[in-house]
Amino acid sequence: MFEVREVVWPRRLGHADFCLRPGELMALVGPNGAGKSSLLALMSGQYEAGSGEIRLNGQPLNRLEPVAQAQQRAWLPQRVTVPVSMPAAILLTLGLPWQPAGAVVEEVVALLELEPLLQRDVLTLSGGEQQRCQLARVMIQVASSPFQGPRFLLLDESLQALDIRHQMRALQGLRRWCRAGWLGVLWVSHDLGLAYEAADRWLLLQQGRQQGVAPPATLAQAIDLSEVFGWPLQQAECGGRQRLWPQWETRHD
Amino acid sequence: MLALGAVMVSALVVDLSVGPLSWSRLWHGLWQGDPLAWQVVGTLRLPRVLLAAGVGGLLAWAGAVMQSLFRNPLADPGLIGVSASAGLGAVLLIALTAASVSMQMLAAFVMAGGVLWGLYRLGTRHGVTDLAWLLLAGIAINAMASSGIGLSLYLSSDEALRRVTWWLLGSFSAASWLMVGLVFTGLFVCVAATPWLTRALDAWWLGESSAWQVGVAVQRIKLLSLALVALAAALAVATSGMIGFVGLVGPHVARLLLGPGHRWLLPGAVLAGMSLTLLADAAAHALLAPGELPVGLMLSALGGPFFFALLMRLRRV
Repeated sequence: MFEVREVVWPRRLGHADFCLRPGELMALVGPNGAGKSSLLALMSGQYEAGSGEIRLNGQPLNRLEPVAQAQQRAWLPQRVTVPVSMPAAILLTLGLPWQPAGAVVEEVVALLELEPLLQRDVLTLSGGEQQRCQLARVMIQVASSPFQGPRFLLLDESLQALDIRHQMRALQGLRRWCRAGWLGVLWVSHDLGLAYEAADRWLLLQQGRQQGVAPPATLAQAIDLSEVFGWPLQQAECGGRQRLWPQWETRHD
Repeated sequence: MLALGAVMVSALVVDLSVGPLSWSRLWHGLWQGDPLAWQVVGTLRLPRVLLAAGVGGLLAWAGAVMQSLFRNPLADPGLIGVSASAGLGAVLLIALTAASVSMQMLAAFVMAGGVLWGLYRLGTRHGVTDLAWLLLAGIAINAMASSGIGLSLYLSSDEALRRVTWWLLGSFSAASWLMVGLVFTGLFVCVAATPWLTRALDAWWLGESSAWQVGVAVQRIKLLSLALVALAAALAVATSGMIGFVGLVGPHVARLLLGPGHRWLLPGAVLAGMSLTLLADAAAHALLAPGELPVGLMLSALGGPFFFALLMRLRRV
């Protein structure tokens, strides 16, 4: 359980109160500047909110030692770059306080198809390839952690730069891990259509305030998403599933 | 790593051999137990050579830590103004009084420590030190310290001016066993602290947030690194004046040869820095024999082209 209780961070996050459960893939959605990254930064434990409490597997987050936190949650901020050259293979386990099992590394490398990149210098990789390596790094962290209980992954637009094949492979891999019950994922996304289909629940933020947390279809009934995002969104059944997409033909004003 | 060690040892031997007493007479005399040779080595050459090695090692170690901490390959130990403040402390004392060398060292030390403490206090809010702020404040401190040094030069007498200039250019000629002891104590402390820094600084390549994310106690690491860098820079400046370039180039040489992992990078930087200062000191003595050039000049003259060659090689790969 990753509980965020009555959290307020002056000038950055008005109010958030929810619980990320192991086994679920939760999408964190909202317009730019809604406080999504601030919320993840708080949940990473690097910053402290003005008030409220965050509990990770029952323990107050700020009482856990950094290494204990690293064993129970991983966080990939928006832009992570490396200023010196090193082979991508080194990047995958850089700075980890434990030696990850070879099988875990191989599984993640296979999932994200990193084999051809492993010996390349990270500075020569494209933006999307670097992003894929960074995502692999945090996935290895949660999957190889010596902590036996539930672990959580906080992803800040981490799939945005990936091509469609790798976005889908990454999401499906994460979903598989969630279904196994030991992982909960909070994933910031601007791709509402994909988030609508892939996520178990949405956490909707607007202007720093939590507007709701529920399965996307439920949320879409309760809240006018077009209003929140400032653009008409269409919702309909298509190919036997409910889908959501932005309308193309519309009147600007 | 072994190669770097071998280079360092040969540089040490070369530097030991250079001087008015020719190298064949020196080593022969040592072998035969000639008291003159022993005296030359024991009171003149060995302290100088060891001081050169120690200062080179300290500066390169500190430079490697700074480059990783600020995630910037252009960082060097002088970045946050500690070296310049130590310099100001010493120069003020030389210019205004006829103080002894140990007083001069003390002044450099107190000044550097005071400035670092002040910067750290000002740059830390709510228990978080802002490194970007520290960098900018360091520029301001550097500017103030250089103007202070300039002012003291303007005010000092002819004789003091000579001393100050020599000292500003950097030199190991004032070496004593006391200095050697201090510098090697500092180097020992830095090297002994290295195991606590390796994983943290490895993770730091990903940025402060990501380092925190993998379980690095970032504030503790910042405090420890900054304190050790200040100790190293202050010791180097206090004993040998302003020796530039080693702190920038030493870590680069180590990184090009040994990669970005700090377990090898930090000890490698120490060896690279030692080799650089030793070779520069030997050259400083050999070129103008029996006189000597300030080693700081020699270092830039020698290190510049060397660094260029490394850069060119890197571009071809």
